Amino acid sequence: MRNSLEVKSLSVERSNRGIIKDLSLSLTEGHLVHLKGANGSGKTTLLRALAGLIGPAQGGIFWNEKNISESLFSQSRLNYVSHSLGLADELTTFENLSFLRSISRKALNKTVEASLETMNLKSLKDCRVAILSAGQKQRASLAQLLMFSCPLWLLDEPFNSLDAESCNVIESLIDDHVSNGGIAIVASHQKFQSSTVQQVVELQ
Amino acid sequence: MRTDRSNWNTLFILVRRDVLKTWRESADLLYPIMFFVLVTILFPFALSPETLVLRSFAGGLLWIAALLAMSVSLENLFKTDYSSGALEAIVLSGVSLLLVGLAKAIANWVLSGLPIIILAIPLALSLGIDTFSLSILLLSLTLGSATISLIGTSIGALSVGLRSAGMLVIVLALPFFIPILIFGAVATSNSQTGLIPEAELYFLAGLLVLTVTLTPWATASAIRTRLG
Amino acid sequence: MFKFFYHYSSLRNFYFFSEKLMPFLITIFLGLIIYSLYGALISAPADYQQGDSFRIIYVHVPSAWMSLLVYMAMGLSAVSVLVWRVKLAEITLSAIAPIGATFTLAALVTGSIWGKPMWGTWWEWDARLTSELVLLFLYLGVIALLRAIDDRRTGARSASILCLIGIVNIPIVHYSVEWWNTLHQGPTVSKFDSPSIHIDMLIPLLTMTVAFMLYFIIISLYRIRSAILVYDKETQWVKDLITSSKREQI
Repeated sequence: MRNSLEVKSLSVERSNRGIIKDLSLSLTEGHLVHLKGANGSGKTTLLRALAGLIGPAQGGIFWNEKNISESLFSQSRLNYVSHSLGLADELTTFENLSFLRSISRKALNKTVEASLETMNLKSLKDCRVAILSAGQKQRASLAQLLMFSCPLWLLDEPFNSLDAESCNVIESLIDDHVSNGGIAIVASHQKFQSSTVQQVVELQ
Repeated sequence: MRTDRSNWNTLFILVRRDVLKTWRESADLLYPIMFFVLVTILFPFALSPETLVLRSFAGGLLWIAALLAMSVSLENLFKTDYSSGALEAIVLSGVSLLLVGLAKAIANWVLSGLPIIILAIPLALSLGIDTFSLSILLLSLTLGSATISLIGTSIGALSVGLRSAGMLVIVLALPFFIPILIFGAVATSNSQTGLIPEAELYFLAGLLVLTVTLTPWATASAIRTRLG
Repeated sequence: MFKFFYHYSSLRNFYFFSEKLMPFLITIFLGLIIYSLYGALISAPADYQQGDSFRIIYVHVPSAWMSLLVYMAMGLSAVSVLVWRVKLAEITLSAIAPIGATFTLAALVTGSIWGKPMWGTWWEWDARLTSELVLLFLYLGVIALLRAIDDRRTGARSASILCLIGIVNIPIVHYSVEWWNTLHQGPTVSKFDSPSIHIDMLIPLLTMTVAFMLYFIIISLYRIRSAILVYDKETQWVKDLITSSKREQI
C-alpha cells in the first residue's frame, strides 16, 4: 500500500486564537513540502498537529486514510525534529540518542554511532549536550532521522544555525528520503537548493 | 507487540535516564534534601531544645519536613524535559506514557524519598526518638513517600511550564498529602507509647496500592494535555 | 437518547434552550426560598438547648451538602471533558468551580459562627469543618490551575484531571480526618449530628436544600451562558444576537 497523508479542512487553535484555518493538503509517497510563512504564522503549530501533539479544533489529519487521533501507535510513522531539539543538556550526545533509540517503538535503521558519524559528530559523542554549539546540537538532533526509518518526516527549521556544508548534508538526506518513497514536510525560512521541492505551502 | 519483560526493561531505561540526569545536575538533587534537614533543625529553635518536648513531637516534625521537602522536589521532575523538548521526543517515540509516568515517580522517590528516609535516621535520633519508634517512622516514611512521589508526579506533570509552577505545584499537591501526613505522624507517635500501629501502616500501604494503580493514568493524560 | 444529548450539548442550542428554561427555574426557586425562609425562621420551634441560634443550620447544612454536590458535578463534567471532549462540559467545569468554592466558604463561615455560642471559640478542629476546609483547598487548586493556563481547552482538560484526582481523594480525606479527630478528642458525638430532629425543623431544611440546588443551577446557567457567548464570539449566531440586542436598545 502506498503511504498517504491527507489534511482535511484543518483548523487548529492556540491560546483561544485560531492559528490555522481550513487548511487542506494531500500528499503521497515522494512528496516534499516546503512550509513557508512569517514568524507566528503557525508553521510549528501545523507540524505539531501533524505529529499528533495538538488536537485539531476542526477537520482532521489522516494517515493512510485513518484519522491519527484514533490510532494509538501513529507515532511510529513519523520522525519529528522540533525547534526545541529534544535533547537533555545533562546527558551526552550518545546517551541522548541511545536513550531515544532504546525506548522507541519505531522501526530502527542505523546505529547511534553510524548516525553520529554521518552527522560528523563522532568526536563529540561523549560530550554533554550543554557544551555543544548551536549547530552541533542541531546536527545531533537531526541524527534521529538516520536512527529510525519512518515514512513521514516533519522538520521544524532543520537548517537553523547550520553551516553551508551541513546544510548540504541535510538536504541530500531529505532528497534521498523523498526519492526513496518518503514524505517530508519542512518548515524553513531558507530556500532549498535542491530541485525536488514539489509543493510550497505558504501560511498566512 | 512487546512482551512484559520488555516493559520492565523500558521502565528501567526511563528511570536510569532520569536518575543519571538529576545526578549530573546536582542542585536538583541536593536542594530538597538540604531543605529537609534545615526545616527539621528549625523546630528545636522554635519549640524547645528539651528532649522531652522534642520527643513527643518528633514524628510530626519529621513528617512535615519530609512532606515539604518532597513537594519542593516535584517542580524539577518535568521542568527541564519540558523546556528542552525532550518530553515531546519521548512522547513521540511511541513509548507507553503509563511507563513514563511510573518511571518519573520511581525516579523522584529514588532521588528525594530515599535520601530523606536515610537522613531521617540521624535527625530522629537527635530529636530523642527510641529505636522501635524509629523503625516505625522509617516504615511509614517509606510507604508514605512512595505515595507522595506518585501523586506528586501527576500534579507536577499538570503544572509543568506554567507561570510560577514551583509554587503552584506545592499548593496543588499539599491538600492531597493530608491523609498521608495524618497516618504517618500518628503511626510514629503511637509507636512511642509502645503500641504497634498496625491500622495506620495498613492504611498507608492501602493508599500506596491505590495510587500506584491510578496515578500513572493521570500522569499520562496530564503529559498529553500539557504538550497539546 | 444520544441524539438528544448531542443536540443540547451544541453551544448554540444550549444557549437558547436554557434561555427558555430560566423563567421556570426562577419562579420555582423564589417560591421555595420564601416558603423555606418562613419555615426556618418563623414556624420552626426554637431548639430547647440552643435557642434560636440553631437556625443557622438552614444555611450551614445546605451549603455543606452543596459543596460536595458541586464537586460531584465537576467530576461528571471532568469525565465528559476527558472522554468525550464535550465543549459544554469544559465551559461548565470552569463556570461552576467558583460557585462550589463559595458554597464551601459559606459552610465554613456559618459553621464557625454557629461554633461560637456552641464551643465558645470561632474555630474548633471538628472533623466535618476540617474536611470542609480541605475541600476548599481542592476547589482553590482547580481554580488556580484554570487561571494559570491561557488556552481554555488545555486548561479545562488539566483542571479535569486534577478534579478527578480530587474525587478519589475526598472520601480518603474525609475518612482520615474523622479518624484523626476521634483519636485526639475521644469518640464524642459530633455537634452537627442531630439524631432526632423535629419534623417541623426538618421539612424547611429539606426544602431549603432544594432551593439551594435551584439557586446553584440558575447561577451556573448565567455563568455558562455568558461563557458560551465569549467562547463562540467569532461565530455568526453570536454576532447576530449582539446586533439584534443593540437594535432593541435603540
